[in-house]
Amino acid sequence: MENLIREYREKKGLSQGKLAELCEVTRQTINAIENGKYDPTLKLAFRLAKVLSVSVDELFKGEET
Amino acid sequence: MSKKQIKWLSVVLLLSIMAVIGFMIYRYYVGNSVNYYGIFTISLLAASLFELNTFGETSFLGSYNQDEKGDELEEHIVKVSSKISYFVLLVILFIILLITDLTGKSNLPIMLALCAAILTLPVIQFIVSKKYQ
Repeated sequence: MENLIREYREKKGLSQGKLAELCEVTRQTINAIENGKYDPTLKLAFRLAKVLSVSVDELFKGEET
Repeated sequence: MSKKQIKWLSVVLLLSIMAVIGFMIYRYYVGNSVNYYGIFTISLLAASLFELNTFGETSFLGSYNQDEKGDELEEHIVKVSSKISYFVLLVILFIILLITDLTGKSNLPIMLALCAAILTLPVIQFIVSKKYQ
């Protein structure tokens, strides 16, 4: 699933490590999500949205059918 | 665990594996017997070595930090690897059975292990699916 985490993270001036720390995951997890190698659980998706001050909808793009 | 600690522990594990292999070779030449406990020890040490270099911790040596919650990606890697390992194990069992069969020996325990392995996944899936009905 495509996401805009990198864009919103950079807009907030956060590093991958800092975002990982705020979301209580490892930097590798954030890196994998940003590169589309791993889709986060709903729990982490909401946590990411909260930290980046956006909605889950804005953060993740569903696959077009 | 720091990278330096991981490196040192990996070296210790590698040396231990080499020591056990050396001891097994020695026992084979002196007593002409295979040390089965040695094979078991090597598998435990090798598993710890891989786990240490994947997650920076090892469950076999009991150094997991119980207070620390598992990372999401780590849990995902464990889940995916478990599925792959199951099928790899099935293939390995089948190959062992085939080899013993080709050498003219019957190997009932391996045959039973293979059948149990084939049955395990669908049976567990059936039981787990009941939980969600």
